[in-house]
Amino acid sequence: MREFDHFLGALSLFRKFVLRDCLHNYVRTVITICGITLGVSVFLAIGLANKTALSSFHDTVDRVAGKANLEIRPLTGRSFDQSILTGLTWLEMAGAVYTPIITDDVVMSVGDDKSEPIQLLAVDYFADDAFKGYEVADSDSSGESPTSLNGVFKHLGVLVGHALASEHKLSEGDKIELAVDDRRFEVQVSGVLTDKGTGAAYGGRLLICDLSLGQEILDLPGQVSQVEIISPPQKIELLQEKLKSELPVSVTVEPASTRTSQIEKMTRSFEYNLYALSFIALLVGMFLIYNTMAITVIRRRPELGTLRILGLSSRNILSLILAEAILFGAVGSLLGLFCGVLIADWALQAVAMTYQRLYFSLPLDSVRLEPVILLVAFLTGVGLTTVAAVPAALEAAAVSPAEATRKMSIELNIDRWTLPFAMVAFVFFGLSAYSSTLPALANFPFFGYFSALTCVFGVAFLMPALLKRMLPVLGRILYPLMGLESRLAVSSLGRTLGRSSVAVATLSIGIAMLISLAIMIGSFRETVIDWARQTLVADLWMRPASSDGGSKNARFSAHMESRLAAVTGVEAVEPWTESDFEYAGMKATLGGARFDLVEKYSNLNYLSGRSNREVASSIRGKSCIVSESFSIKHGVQAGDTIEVPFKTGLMPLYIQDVYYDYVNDTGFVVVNRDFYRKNMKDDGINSFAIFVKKGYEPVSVRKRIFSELSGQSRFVVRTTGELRERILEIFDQTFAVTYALHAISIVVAILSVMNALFALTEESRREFGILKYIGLPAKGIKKMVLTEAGVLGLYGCVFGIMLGFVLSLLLIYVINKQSFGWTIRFTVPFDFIAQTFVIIMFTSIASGLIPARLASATQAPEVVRSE
Amino acid sequence: MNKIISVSILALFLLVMIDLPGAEAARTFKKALPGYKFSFPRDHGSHDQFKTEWWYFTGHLKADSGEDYGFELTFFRTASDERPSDKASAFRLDNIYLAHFAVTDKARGKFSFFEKLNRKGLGLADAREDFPLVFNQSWSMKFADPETIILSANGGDYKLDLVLDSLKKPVVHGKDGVSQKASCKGCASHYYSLSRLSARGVLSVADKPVFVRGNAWMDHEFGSNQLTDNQVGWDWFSIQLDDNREIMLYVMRRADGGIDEHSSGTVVYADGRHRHLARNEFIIKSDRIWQSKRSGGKYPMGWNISIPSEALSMKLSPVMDDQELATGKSTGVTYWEGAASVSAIKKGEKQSGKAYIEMTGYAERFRKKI
Repeated sequence: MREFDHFLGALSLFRKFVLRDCLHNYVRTVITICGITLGVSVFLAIGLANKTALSSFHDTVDRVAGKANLEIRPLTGRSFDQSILTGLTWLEMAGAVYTPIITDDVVMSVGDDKSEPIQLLAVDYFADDAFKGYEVADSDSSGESPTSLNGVFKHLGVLVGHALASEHKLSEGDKIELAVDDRRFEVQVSGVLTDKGTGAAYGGRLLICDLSLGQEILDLPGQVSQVEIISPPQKIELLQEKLKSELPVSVTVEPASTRTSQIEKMTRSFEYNLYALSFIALLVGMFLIYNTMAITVIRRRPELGTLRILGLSSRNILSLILAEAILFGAVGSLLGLFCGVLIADWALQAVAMTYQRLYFSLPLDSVRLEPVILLVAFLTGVGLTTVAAVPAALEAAAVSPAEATRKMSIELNIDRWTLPFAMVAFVFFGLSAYSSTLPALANFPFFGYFSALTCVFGVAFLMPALLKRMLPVLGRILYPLMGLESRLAVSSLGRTLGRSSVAVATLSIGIAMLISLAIMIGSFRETVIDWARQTLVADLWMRPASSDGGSKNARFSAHMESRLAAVTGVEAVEPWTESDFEYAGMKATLGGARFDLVEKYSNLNYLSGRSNREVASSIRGKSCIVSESFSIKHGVQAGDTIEVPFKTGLMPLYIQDVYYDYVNDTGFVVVNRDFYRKNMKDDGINSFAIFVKKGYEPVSVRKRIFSELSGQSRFVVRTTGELRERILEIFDQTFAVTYALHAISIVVAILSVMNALFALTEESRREFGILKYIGLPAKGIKKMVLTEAGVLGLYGCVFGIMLGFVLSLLLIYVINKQSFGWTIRFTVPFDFIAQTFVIIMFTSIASGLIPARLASATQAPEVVRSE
Repeated sequence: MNKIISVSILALFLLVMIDLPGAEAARTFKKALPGYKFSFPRDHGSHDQFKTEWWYFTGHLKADSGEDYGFELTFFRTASDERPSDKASAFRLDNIYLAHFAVTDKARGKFSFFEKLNRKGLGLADAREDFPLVFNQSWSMKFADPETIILSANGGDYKLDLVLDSLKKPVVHGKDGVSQKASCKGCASHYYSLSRLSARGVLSVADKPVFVRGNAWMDHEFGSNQLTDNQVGWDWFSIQLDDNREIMLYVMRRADGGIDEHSSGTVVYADGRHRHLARNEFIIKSDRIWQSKRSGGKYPMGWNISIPSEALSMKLSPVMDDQELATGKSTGVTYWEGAASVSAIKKGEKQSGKAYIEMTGYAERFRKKI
């Protein structure tokens, strides 16, 4: 019973002391909650988008594998020779069943000039029932089971996934046109899949057909993509070992789940970097909370003292303040969950393209609401809010009953703390500097982020000392220019150093994030533009129509090279072939280039600084060049020898040099085309770089190419200018989410400036009253507050830009390098920084308008009386 | 000859159901025409130029421990009308291999059947043209020498490994190398039997191996277009009498309920000589009807067969009534194929023997398909 009374008492106190105050200071409450909401919603949206992308992949792998618990996959290329199958018949004796699958992406033409990439899955219609993971929706009512032979032959066309069928209104008997390589292929729909089992893989956007038709559509005679095996559970390891020892080294035998963990590993950098970026908004929000709570405590010291007189222990006070923070956290986080879910689809679209382009082709339409992520976002919001309130709560708990009568605050103490804080700041800077030199942890730049975080904390702790030094300087500069009010403003800020420091620190962290991201992205963009200008020296670029539609493996047949070379006006044709392979458990790309032509016409840039001619002339046989990403990801350098799986077996390749490349982050290994053809048994060509003879216009040569070759082949030819534009387009799409994230962190930062100004005005009411009493007009007070706002904005900008530079160095040389392995040349987007400066100054001063009006309305006698 | 129709119907499906864009006219197959000269062991192998073909084994086994078993193991090959465009694929469906395995376990009163369906390209099934070997996954038929066949099959609780020694020369049915099934030209098959095979081997029931011995019968038949539209099903009998004679009879039933005039048979004498039996040389009557709960099909049971020219009168009784196979996964055909006992009277002398009987076209489902 006593406990209950106690609880009721606490509740009533909470209501009177906390809720009433929150309602009374509703502007501050709203700003604070907005800050948390934004932070949590961004964090959640990114979390949901990432989770959806990865779980879609996981799901699809599961659905295709079905009950299979082992899988034979190629380690190199997209398929392997079907002759492997004849060596598997013994599996049946061991109680296992197996079935081959052929799969690849094709492009389906839908409507006029529109197309979409979809997955083609060719399975054995006669396979053991255990593999039959799909169901055909019955269109006729004959009740004929699709598994009967009758049904099998009925389905010799393609079965269409339910999502595709409903979207394009496809039904049995319809014809669909596929773009495969540079060919057109018409198939007939023989049924629609239900959304069960394999039919739900790839989001229901897939085609299933029989093996023979699959080989024909993909033009992969004699090849299969994988073999699914259902082994008795107790024999999995035994069979895996046996198969590994019998099969060629160019294939691997693993459970299907290995692919999921591999993709998780591959996308980890991208995923965690997104989390880190979204965390920035939360971090800025944390400063906002700290700010709010610190000011609350300062403003309400007398009340807190009174509560102490009334018998509340300092522990009660501590809980009371923390309860207030938790309330803010909970409300803000709940709203954040709501907004986060609303913007999650948008976030998914923003990241989907990057996932699809770099890692896996899967349709990513809408987010899945993962309860775990919702919970994590909520707890992160509440948790960070609470942590941010701890200093203020401790401060409040330390208020002595005697202070009830005084309105003086911590500000008297901050002076004492300036030096220790500065020392802490230098410890942080030291940590930051040290951790920036540490290598990545499991390919994730953990220490890079740690370095950035400690740097941010360092600046926050150094702020009181900085302002203490810098404010008087500004005061001396402003006084002659703006008169007495400016001097008053500066000295007022100096006296409330605690709050001013928090406000400036919050703003400068927000600005620093913005600036650093801007410098990083700007530098990256400049680097890519530069790279494209230097490297893309051919006049025309040609690739199969289906690769433009999103089909990764689309190829021309080998004879295209000579046909293209025979077109009038063509000086030289440089073919390029690539396919995926696995190196050290990670995906990378193996390329085949004609280095005799690269030597003559192209212009690759190498880390060693050697000339293109010199390096290219040395790439013959078992030597290669690797891209910078590959070199960093796998810790290999020029002069090393790597073992790369080819169709003909593992080949030791000598790395001649490392070249700059920004196409993907999984990395390239490039060998000479002859070597590639011989050992990959692949004659196809993914794209051509075309050099035009002197005196010919690229555009007119392009016309000729179309008129001479488009009869037999469907392709796209771009001029170098168009290609560069497309590269930048893809670049900007990739960074769209980053742009959005940093815009949001700046909004949170501006909110915190407004918040700080409100608090300062509130705090300074006494001062304003006295000033008014001694004759300062209302206009003067207004000017003073606006100046304060301006000064906060100015210092926020100055320190923010400085911190931003440091962070951008970390982003470019540590975080990005360790995550993706790209060298980025540091360039400063001065125009952007100038714009930011103006906008921040404007916003700061504007956000001082309301507080200024409030301050100027302060009644002089009221405060003087209380004094 | 018994599987003619099931496979022919299968072939019919292939023709009707494959309605694909650009599919050219059906592939032309060799017809079964008079004058065909059989040559062994070559003709034990596959004849891919014909559309359909099967190797068909039935037998009666007795375990050392006393139990009686009947078995059926059939390998089918059927060529589809290859689509012109998928020639490049080794997985093309130009030949499809099916197989049925059934065990009549008299002691347990249990009839079990299993089926397989595969294509050639995956290494899972094949019927060799150059060598008498047919397999479908782990089920296989192989001639170890011209008179010895090794059979293996398994399914569920049963695993059968048999060595069969042919005690008589192959018997070619019909006239002039063809077994005519209808009046049209080429509506026939090339058909021979090894009508008396002595069987020995191991049958594992629920992982317990038992030694078995007995008699078996092999049919091998190939052709391209045996059936006509008005034939709805057939009854086929292989009878092995204890006096070392064997009789094969088939009856083609017409849609109007009558019997096709091309129904016929063969009697094989103890010394291996054989004689063609024309339609009017035998009479078959049944004395009751059994209805399948599975398919609803009504099958005649208890056959009285008389062959006046041989002064032979026989009564055939099924070992059990339910020996029906519903082969949904492979042929899609439901038929009755079962072991029967024979009691015969020849010239007043009592005799006994064993028989295997096949009846198709009785299940409703089957009718509907036609």
